[in-house]
Amino acid sequence: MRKQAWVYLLLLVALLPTLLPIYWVATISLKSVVDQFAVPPLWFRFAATAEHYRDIFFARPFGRYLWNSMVVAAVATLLALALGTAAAYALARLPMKRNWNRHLSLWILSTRMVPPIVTILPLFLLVRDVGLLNTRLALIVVYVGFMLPFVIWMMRGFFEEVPPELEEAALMDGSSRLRALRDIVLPLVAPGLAATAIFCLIIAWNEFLFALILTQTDAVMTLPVGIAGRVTQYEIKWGAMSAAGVVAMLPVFLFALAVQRYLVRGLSLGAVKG
Amino acid sequence: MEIRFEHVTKKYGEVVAVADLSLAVQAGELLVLLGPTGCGKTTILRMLAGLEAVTSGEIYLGERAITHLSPRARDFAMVFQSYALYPHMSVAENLAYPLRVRHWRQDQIAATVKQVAARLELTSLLARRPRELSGGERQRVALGRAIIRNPNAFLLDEPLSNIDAKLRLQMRMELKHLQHSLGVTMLYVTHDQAEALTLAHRVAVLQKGVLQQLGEPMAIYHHPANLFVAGFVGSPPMNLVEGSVDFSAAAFTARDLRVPLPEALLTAARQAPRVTLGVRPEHVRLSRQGEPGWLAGRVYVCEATGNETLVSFRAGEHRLSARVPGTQSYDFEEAVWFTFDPAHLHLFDAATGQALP
Repeated sequence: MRKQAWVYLLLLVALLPTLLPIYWVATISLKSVVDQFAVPPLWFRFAATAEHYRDIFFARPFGRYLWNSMVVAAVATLLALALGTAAAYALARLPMKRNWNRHLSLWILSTRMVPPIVTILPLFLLVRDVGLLNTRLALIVVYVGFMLPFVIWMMRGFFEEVPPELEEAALMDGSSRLRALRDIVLPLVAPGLAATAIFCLIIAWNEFLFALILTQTDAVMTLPVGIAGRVTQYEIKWGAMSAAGVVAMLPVFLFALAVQRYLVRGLSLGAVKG
Repeated sequence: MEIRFEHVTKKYGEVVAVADLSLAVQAGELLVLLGPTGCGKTTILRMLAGLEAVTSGEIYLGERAITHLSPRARDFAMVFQSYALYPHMSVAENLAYPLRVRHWRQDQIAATVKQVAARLELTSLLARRPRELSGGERQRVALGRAIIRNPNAFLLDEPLSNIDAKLRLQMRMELKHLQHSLGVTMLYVTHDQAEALTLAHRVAVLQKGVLQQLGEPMAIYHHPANLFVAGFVGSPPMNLVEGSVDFSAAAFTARDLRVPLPEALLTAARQAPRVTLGVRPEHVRLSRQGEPGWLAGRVYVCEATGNETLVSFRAGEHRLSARVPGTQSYDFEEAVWFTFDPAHLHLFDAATGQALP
């Protein structure tokens, strides 16, 4: 028992740098403006207020930002997963001449070697010229472009871990290639899919730079840009920003919680030989 | 249905894995493809299955060319060396998968799974996952997944190589009986010559992608077509001694060795300047007392296996082995006398390796 207590204490210390800011943001979002600046800080005892939450949802279109973020992140993630998984499967399984699998994979990865900021101006012009400025579609397309290399590289690794005989067995049992993919391979890489999906969601959810440049109207703005908009030249609305921060954290947190059990690996153990 | 390979070749880049294979498997036959690792036997099976593309040549099922058909259209069932059970499905779901893919009705599937499970003694394991099964149980599930439907043929790729020796002998019998009772065509790949001889109606011996000999097990054993087959089939392998034929003395001679040859072998050896003499260990007679014409040797090691004893001995520079009754026993370095049974001598052309005649 004593040993366990030590383990938990160590864990607590290790997690403090991660959890403390979250706690701080959460408490700020519940404090009145006066309490926010109290010295020494009010760690535990303060009068909780919902005024900042009321502020962001009723006085400002935060509900709208939240919805935009959700739509953009979800659609981009689904698209990237669908396209990227197919590409990763092909790269992992289809034999190509002269090592082209490798060359193609490296080329795909190389698209991530350019710092995003380099592409922002051409992208802005491109998006403007096709008339997609201030649309969620523009963000979705750009984010899918971001995510694809990650999805392809992560999923390729997961596919390569599935023994080819399993698919061959399915083919011999009479299924088509697609059916073997659906019945045998995808269930086995489900943990990988979940991990990749979380990764993509976080990319889209947190993305600031492109969202800032490509969207300027409240109707399509996403959360990170909306929150940053609370820093004005006259005042910084800490309470509203914190409340928005908490609201922004929740969906990703809940999603990660929901798919946690898929993240546990080892499903394919014992499939082959003994 | 009959399966025919016609001039089938498989190349990986410049490497020839299977060279100009022509082979017919009769309906209901159990044909074993036998050869060492890398001889192309698995490639042949995979080409027939449709998992590997054919470089040139045609494969026929009955009168139908199936060379370029998908595995599904060929309708063969395969048992993989690794079993390839679906890890995320229970035993019952594994067995049912071929039927599910064929859109059978649920109740029919359930009934058939039950039937096959009973036949392979898997009934108590139906709810388990593959990783909770022993090697032998997994093997039976893989087999069950194959026999649950009526395929054109069974293709088995070293199905017994991953289970322990005792179980392997039992499964070998089960397989042979199963093939007989189902009456279905079966292609069986193995590197184990004992497995090949015991199971097969006919054996195809392969080396480096080339078919060496095709025939019934006893024909392969007693009349090997060339040096490779002679050396590969049989355990311990056939004694092989390189030398030449002395026609004036009507005998085979090598350094330290002189063996009189019967008339038939002498005529056969006319064209070959160098020959290799082959004799199986059970056709070597060994004794402590020599008789006229017997040769002298010295025991290297003596291994008793119960019913019989294997004696490895040296005769000059040659190392030979003999199979003697289990009642006999010899010491290290003991002097012995031996002779070969003249009715069971084999001669091979040393240059081409082909059997003479």
